[in-house]
Parts: sequence; structure tokens; C-alpha cells
Amino acid sequence: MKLDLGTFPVREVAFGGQTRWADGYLEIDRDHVRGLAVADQNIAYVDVDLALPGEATRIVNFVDAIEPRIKVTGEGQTYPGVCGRPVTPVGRGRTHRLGGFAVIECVDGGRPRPPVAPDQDPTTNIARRQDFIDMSGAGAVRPYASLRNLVVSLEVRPEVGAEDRHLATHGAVLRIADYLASAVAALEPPVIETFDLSARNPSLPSVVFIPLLSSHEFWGGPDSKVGTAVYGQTRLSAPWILHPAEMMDGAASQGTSWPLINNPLVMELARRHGKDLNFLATIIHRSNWGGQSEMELAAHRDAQAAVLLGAQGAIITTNIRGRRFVEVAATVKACEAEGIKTVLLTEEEDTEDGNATPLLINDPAIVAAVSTGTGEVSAPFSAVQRVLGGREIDLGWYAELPPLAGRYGAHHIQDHYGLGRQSCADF
Amino acid sequence: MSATVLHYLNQFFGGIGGEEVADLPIQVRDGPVGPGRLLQRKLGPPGEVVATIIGGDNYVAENRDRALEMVREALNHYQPDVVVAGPAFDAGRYGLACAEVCLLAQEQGISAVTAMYPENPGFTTNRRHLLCVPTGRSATDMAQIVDRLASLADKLVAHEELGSAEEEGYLPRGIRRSVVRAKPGAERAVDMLVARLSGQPFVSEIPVVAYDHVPPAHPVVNLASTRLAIVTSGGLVPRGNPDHLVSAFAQLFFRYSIADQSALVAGDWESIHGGYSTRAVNTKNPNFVVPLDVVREFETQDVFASLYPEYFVTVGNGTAVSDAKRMGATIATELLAAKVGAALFVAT
Amino acid sequence: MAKELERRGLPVALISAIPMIPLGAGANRVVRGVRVEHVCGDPGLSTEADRALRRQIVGTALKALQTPVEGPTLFDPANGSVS
Repeated sequence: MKLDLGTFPVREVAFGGQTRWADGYLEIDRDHVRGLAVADQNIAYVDVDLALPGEATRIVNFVDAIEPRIKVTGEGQTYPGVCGRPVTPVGRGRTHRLGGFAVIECVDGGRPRPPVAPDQDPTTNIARRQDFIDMSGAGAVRPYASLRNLVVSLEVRPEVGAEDRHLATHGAVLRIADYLASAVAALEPPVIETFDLSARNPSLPSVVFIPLLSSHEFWGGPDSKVGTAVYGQTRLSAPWILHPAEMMDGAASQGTSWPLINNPLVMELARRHGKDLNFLATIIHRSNWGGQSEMELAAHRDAQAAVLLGAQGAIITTNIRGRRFVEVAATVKACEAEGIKTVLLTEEEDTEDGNATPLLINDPAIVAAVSTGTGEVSAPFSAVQRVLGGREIDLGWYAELPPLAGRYGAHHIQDHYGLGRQSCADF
Repeated sequence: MSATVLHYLNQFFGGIGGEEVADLPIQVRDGPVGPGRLLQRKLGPPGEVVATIIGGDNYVAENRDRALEMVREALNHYQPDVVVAGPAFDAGRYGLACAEVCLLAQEQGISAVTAMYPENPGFTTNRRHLLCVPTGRSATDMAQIVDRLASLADKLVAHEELGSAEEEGYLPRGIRRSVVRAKPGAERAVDMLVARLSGQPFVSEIPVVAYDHVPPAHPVVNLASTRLAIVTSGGLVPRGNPDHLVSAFAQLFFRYSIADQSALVAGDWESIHGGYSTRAVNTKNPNFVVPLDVVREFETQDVFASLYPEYFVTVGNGTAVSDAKRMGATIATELLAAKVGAALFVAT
Repeated sequence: MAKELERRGLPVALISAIPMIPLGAGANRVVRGVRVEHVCGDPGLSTEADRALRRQIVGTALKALQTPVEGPTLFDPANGSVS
């Protein structure tokens, strides 16, 4: 199983009469993009804008970020299984991508809410809206701040329910992403990387990547289309074992898509395959079970899968904070008990001046951990001149917003896979 | 400008004697003594150990106030820039004495640094407030330790901001701060795994720290004569949430009467907890959170004496540990005053 | 919160669907509950069976209150076991 990934970097982008890519310059036919969105009758409103790194621009009502990727050869369609796309297995042949670029899905829920409620203590209370992206300033901490973004602002008709709303808006941005990626489908990529993980070097250690992906099931039910999906499946289930190349074709997507298809751990492990390790597989653990028994069961299934695949080591991550950390601890423990050496990469909690511990569960099995920080944004989010993402923008969004404390509930940075260098240390 | 150091040693390292002179009262000598000479050599010029305080381990342990008074006098007299205590290695009384000396100096606004074995009670009981270099159990690594003490002392005198514990070589104090590391997290994780798998040393970025343990309260001896109370973090409130209990980050708790009820009636109550699906509780049975129906059964059977007329509720969703502690302490005070003898706590 | 009650000498039986959390945090008498969404019972059972289950859980909690323990201890209603 081999995947060629061809990258077409986007260094400049502008609206123009047609959609084409040449030498790093992407021209986008704005009217055509709008037309793709309203092709779904449930879409009541769409607008399309560009947001570039360094601008004093804030993107609000943020739901997801999609990188345009398209299959050129090889079966299946990228982002398989979601929004009615086929579940044909992916990860083979050739895929072309627009690098340094994303389509941003912004959906206005229709109920105007200010970004920070007036009676909240701005420096310590973090129960406030974090569904925004700052393109510059101290708050430009999300990975999307360094991408050239096509901001698609959407509203659905008022009678449309949550599931249909998702299918409408996410379907719209997928159509747009497919359309943009098709502009480079027939071109020769300036950069092409081949991922062939079939050869195993017996003198190198074999490792697996075990991301815990939270399921939306307890809010939307097992058949919900909303939330992080594996080939479109969102339910709490036994682990999904994927070839790393399937991840590169978007087999895990939604909530949020860009960091999953550009997963830095998948890329780092894949690039070091044959050099200092053998990258065997990605074992996706669905998380957010309701009882400890199920949590322990899910954990020992990961460990068993890792053993049967022949792994000696595992990197474990999670995409949700709070009590689900019990599942993370259980997974580390189960792997270590089977002799699989683990490294846990995770965000950590604010230690409240020594009153709390950085990890919710302090299991001695967690001997090797990499911290991606508490999620705090310690400086204010600068006031901006332009706000994109909706038809009616609350004036509060233009103002300076207070810093974010690094406690449970801080989900602005969400560096679940170690994209950045922010971390914590003991003093 | 000469950086002046006041050095604290016990009777052994002060060259006076061993256990037999552990009752030695505080003595103050001009200049460095014993390992203090090594310390002086290691200090950046023009650092100087202006005086050495020598205290018998037993004397300090048994005459704490008097001993600290004498140390205070020495601090006033010599006005050092920084105090260095030890290294105490694994010696428990010496470690505790070093800790006391450092804490006293810090109280007087003078920086202090010490060194001892990480499990020395002198450190473990004062971790948050002590700048402490880790040592082995015995004095074999004295030179290396004194080196690090000197370098930290120099930084303290220069009012330089200290780097992380890992960078500077001191024991973590339970203070964690945001930092920016040299490589992205993903690269660090794969490097760490490769190191682990090849038996190379690695340093975990997140310590596994035990929560403080509370000694178990004595069991109830006679349940039949005991008053019981119910507390929950499950967010169950009267329908309509009259007191507007928040669904996350709660800092307040509320109390609601269950005095005249033999069970909670579905529809009269709801859970506003934001961390789990509340459908079952709200539409089927609030007794899933506050099990009043069966508690009343046990009360009727005289299994316990009586139930406190109100239950206490907050929301255990992102609650700050410090807020949880405060709320728990307040509820405890009230329950104890009301002669409640035991509590049922239903968590989320 | 439960630890604070216990710190003041009040024995507490803590019922949790994820016992690992309170046990790890140092609560000394922890009783296993059913599920986070319905800690003291099971809506999937008949009314009588659900009530009996709740009786079993609370009964275990009352027993835990009367049991001397040396540290964090799990009381499991299912098999009346203590670990």
C-alpha cells in the first residue's frame, strides 16, 4: 500500500474570474464557490471572504477547517464516509493537496451571543466563546492563523435541525474544497512525497499511534453525523485500525478536520519509518464512554491490538479534557502492562498555584509524557478591524478580548497532536 | 560589589564532630568553613562567604525558636545577599534545619538556596517554598552539588530570572508555567519514544504527582444512631434552576429541602450539569443523582437515625480544586454543627 | 469536596461511575455507581429492578461508612466485594 502525496503550496490567493493554481498563486472564482454552497436548499445564506496571515482579522462562528485534497489515482474519495461520501477505503495511489491553505466552515447558529458575557470575570473565567480565529496578534495561536483561509460564512433555514444543519454546511464546504482541489488534480505537483510503509526493518522498534477521539454519541446518538468521524462513523465503538496513509486521505475528519489530516504525529512517524522506527498503524480509540468498565475495556482492546500488530511502542493522545482522561490513563496503563512502552502527548491542567495536579489522573504508569501546555493564551486578543464569519456580527467581536486561563474549558489552541512548541515546565 | 553569602552547616560538616555533639548550640564563624571553602571558590567573583552558621542537629530540632532567633541575629548582623544551607544529603534533621533557615531568610527578604536528597523531609514538607538542588544520599557528589549551589546563588544575587527546574537543576516546587520548547511537540514525542525504546535516558515533561492523602475518617460505630446528609456534584436542582447554578466552573453550592419527601418526583427536578447527558435524570428519575427513595426506605427501617432536611449540590464540571476545597470545608462546618455523623456523596 | 468533609472527621461514602477518579484523588470510601448519566440506578431496567439496584448501591455505601479502611478503597455493590 503506497501513497504519493503531491503538494501545491498556496503562497498567494485572490478572487478572480476563474479558479486556477499556478506557481503558488491560487485564483478563486468567488461566484462559483457561492453557487456550490447554495446548491443545497437548506442553505439560506452564504458569503465568501479571504483571511490572510498577519491581517487584523477575526474569523468567528468557527466550526471546522478543511484542507482541499483530491484523489488523482487510487480508489475512493478523500474525507470518506462523511456527508454521504463513499466509504471506499482510501490511502493508495496519488493525492494532491493545497498546502498552506484551508476552507473555513463558519456557521451562525442564529442566536446572537456576545463573545464574553458582561458579568464574567475576564481574567479567570473561561466559560466563553472560543469559536474564533485571530489572524494576527498575541491571540493568533491556532494553526489556521498561519494559513491562507477561504472563509465560508453560512446560515441554514431556521426550521433545519442540528443533523441536517451539519450535513448542509459541512457538505457545502466539502464541495468547495473538492472544487478547489480539482484545480490541481491534473497538474504536476512541485513537491511530492511517497509514503510506503510496507517494508519493516527487524532491527528497528515497531510503534503504533493511538489517538483517543471523543465520540459525540452521548449528545447525538450512535447514528449522529456530527462530530469526529472515522469513515463517517461517529459512534462509541471498538477501536478502528487504520493504515497511516488512510489518515492522510482524511479517513478521520470533522471536529476539527485540518489537524487530523495534517496530523504532525502521523507525518513525523511516517517520515521516520525505516529510519529509527517501523510505523505499523494508527489505532483510533473512540472515547467518552459513560462508565469505567467500558473505559477499561476500550483501553485493553487498544493494547491487545497493538500487541497483535507487533508493536513495541505507542504514542497516545486525546482530543478532549476532563473525566475522559481516565480513558487516557487506562490506555497508557493497559499498554505498559502488555510491555508496550508509551509516550503520552497531552495538554495539561492549570495547577492552581500548587493546589491541583497537572494531570487529572496521576497513574504511575505515565512515565513518559510530552506536554502541549494548558491551552492558556496569556495576552489579550487584540482588537480587530475586520470580522468574518457571519451576516450579523456582534460589535463585541471587534474589541480586545481578555486572555484565556489554561484550565479545563480552554479549547482555543487545542494542540492535541504537538503541532506547536508551547508547553509547560516545573519551576 | 561583593556578593555576600551566609552559609549554614550542621555540626558534622562544620568540622566539630558527629552525633556526640549534635546538641551544639548555634555558633557563628567569620568566613567559610569546610564545604564553604569549596563554595567560595565556585562563586562567581567577587562572591564571598562572609560567615558560617553551625548548628547542632538536635539543638535546632529541640530548640527551634531559640535557634532561629540566633540565625535571625546573624542575618541582621551580616546582611548577606544570599543564604546557602547544606548540602544536607539524606540527613533528616539537618535537612529540616536547612529548610527552616532558608524559610527564615526568605521571610527577611533574603534569597536562599539549599541542597538535599529529594526524599529528605526537609524538602518534601517545604517543597513549594524552597529552592533546592537534588543530591544523592551521601556526600560523594559534593563537588558537583556545591557547583550548582554556587551557580544558583550567583543568579539569585544578580536577580536573574530562573529557568525551569529541568534547565537550572533544582527540584520542582509544584509551580508550573508555560514555556516554549525548542522543537514541536510531535517531534519531541517521537524522539522520547525512540529514546525509551532504545534504553536511552529521557525526561518526562509532566510529573505524576500524588494528590494529598486525607487519613480516613473513623468508621461509623452505630449507624442506627447516626444522622446522615446527602451531598452531590451531579448538578441536580429544582426544575427551573431557581438559583441559577452554572453548568460548569461552579464556585457556589446550594441546598434544597427534601424534608417532607419520601422520594424525588420526576419532573420536579432537573440536572443542569454540562458534562453529561441529563436526559435520564430529567425525564425518568432524579433519584439517579439523589437516591432519596431508597435512603428513606433505610431510614424507615431505622438503619440510620435521621436524614439532614436539605441536600447540598454543586456541579462537578471543570470545578477548580481550590473552589471544591472551599465548598467542602463550608459544608463540613455546617454538618458538624448540626451533629451529622456521616455523608453520602454522589459524584458525576 | 468529599475529602474536605473527611478531613474534618466526617466519614463519607462517595458513589461514582468512574471510581478511578475519586480513588486517585484520595477519597477513602468509594462505591462503584452505574453510569455517569445515571449513577444510582439504570433506566433500562424495570422500575422494581432499578429500585433494587439503587438499594444495593446505597446499601453498599452505608456498609462502607461502617467499614474501617486504611486508604482509598473501592466498594463494589455487584459482588459485595471490597478492594
